[in-house]
Amino acid sequence: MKVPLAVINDTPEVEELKISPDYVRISAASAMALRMRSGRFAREFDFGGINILLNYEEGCLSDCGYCGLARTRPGDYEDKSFIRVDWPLVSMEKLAIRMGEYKNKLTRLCISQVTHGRSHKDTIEITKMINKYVDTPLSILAAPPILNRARLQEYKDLGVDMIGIGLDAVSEKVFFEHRTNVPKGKLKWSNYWDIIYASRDIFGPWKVNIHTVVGLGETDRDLIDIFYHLYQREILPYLFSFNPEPDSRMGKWERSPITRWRRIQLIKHLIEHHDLKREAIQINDAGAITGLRVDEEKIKDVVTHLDKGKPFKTDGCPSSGGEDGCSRPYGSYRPTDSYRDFPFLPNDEDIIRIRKELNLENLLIK
Amino acid sequence: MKQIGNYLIDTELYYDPKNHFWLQPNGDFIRIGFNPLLQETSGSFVAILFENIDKELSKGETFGSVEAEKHVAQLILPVSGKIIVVNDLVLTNPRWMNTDPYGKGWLVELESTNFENEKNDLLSGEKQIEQWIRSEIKKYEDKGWIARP
Repeated sequence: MKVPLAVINDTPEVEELKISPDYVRISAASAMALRMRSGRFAREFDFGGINILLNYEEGCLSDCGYCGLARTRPGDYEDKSFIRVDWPLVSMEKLAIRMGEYKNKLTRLCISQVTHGRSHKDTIEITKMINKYVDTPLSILAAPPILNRARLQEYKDLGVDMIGIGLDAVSEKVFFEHRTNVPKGKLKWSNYWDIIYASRDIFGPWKVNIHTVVGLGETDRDLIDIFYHLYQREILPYLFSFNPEPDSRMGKWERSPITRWRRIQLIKHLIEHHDLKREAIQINDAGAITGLRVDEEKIKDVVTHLDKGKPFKTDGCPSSGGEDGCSRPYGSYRPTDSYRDFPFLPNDEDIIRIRKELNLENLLIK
Repeated sequence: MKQIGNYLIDTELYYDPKNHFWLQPNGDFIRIGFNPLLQETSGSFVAILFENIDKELSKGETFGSVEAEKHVAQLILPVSGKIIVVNDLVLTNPRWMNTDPYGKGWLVELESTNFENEKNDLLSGEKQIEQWIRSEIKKYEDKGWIARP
């Protein structure tokens, strides 16, 4: 009896690596907006801010204690959540085509880099591909460890209009505590600031934003100091509320109390839009805000009438018309939580809740 | 099971058209879960909370809430009765509601108190269920809640 010979393929099947620039991750909200994933928002509103995240087999080489993508967070990179939710992996070509189909709905696009040797080159490729299909304003959330002036200039030359820097930690001490261990270095406080100032030079006033996270162990004074520092240089601070990522090194940290968060939102808004003077903010020896010397009526006006809750909206890059373009719905809170930042203007019921959370009576110094 | 659109629907069950529950009666006891269309258009479930267990509840009262990545909804009882069992599996892993809505992803079992009368408000039979699911798919597509190929 003849025994058939085993068939051996000349070319063994190799699983295709789904990495950038051919593949990217997009936020769950972006996937829903582009109908690449089914789902709905807790409250209906127009959403057109698309967040794109570079994807590599090795993941991000940084190891920030609060981040879902941290190198040493348990689990495979593919399965890791980022800001607590899945980021679906999609073909970049399919995404670009889909964005073209929905271009009238889009308000702002953002490519988030990760710390990886290919990030810069792939950001260029992806930007070129996006430019073929849509002219929606494009930001890059940059990874300073892989950047320099020349690379920033390349982005500008390709039409990128805003640069975001995820500084996150607002003091050198907090930065050192939570953002260490990049194998080839450069994840340094000074390096981040070099890139911030270079971005400001290249992109111009109010075209650079710095992500500042509330709840990483910084003091209120640290936050206030950085707000003034940035505004003086015509750089925008964007506020984020720390939201512990399960299994990350800071997974069991408490969130910043809601009252502290609301007060920081309000004070940042007053500095940005109402010329709040530094000396009006009373801070104790521990660095905590203890009072605000502002006319109470003015504050009430700001909160309830004048701005209709604008201080509590999500900080994000604008649309081409100057409206809010990126709102990251449910990015730093769960749908069951009080909205830490609102992707739309808070309604009357929200304002009542915000007023309670602010506890203004205990903040104002008459 | 019947394929309706992209959904495999068990047409031998009852359906609550307001809240998209399926109901499987067994004597006075009824098992309740989400139908496949509801689970998909809610997004990935991340948490479920049951309330008012072991209490006599009327149809329309809440028995908890469910949270998906970007969405939260109250659980509204489709028929009157007392919830006597909750599914521990979905409490520990809410994703079962997405991946196996008719099986491991069921929610609660209740002892009904008025099912004979209240079942008239539910949908049953292949024709009625199919018609309803198709119209709901269309509605959800128009709202942009269903992914396109």
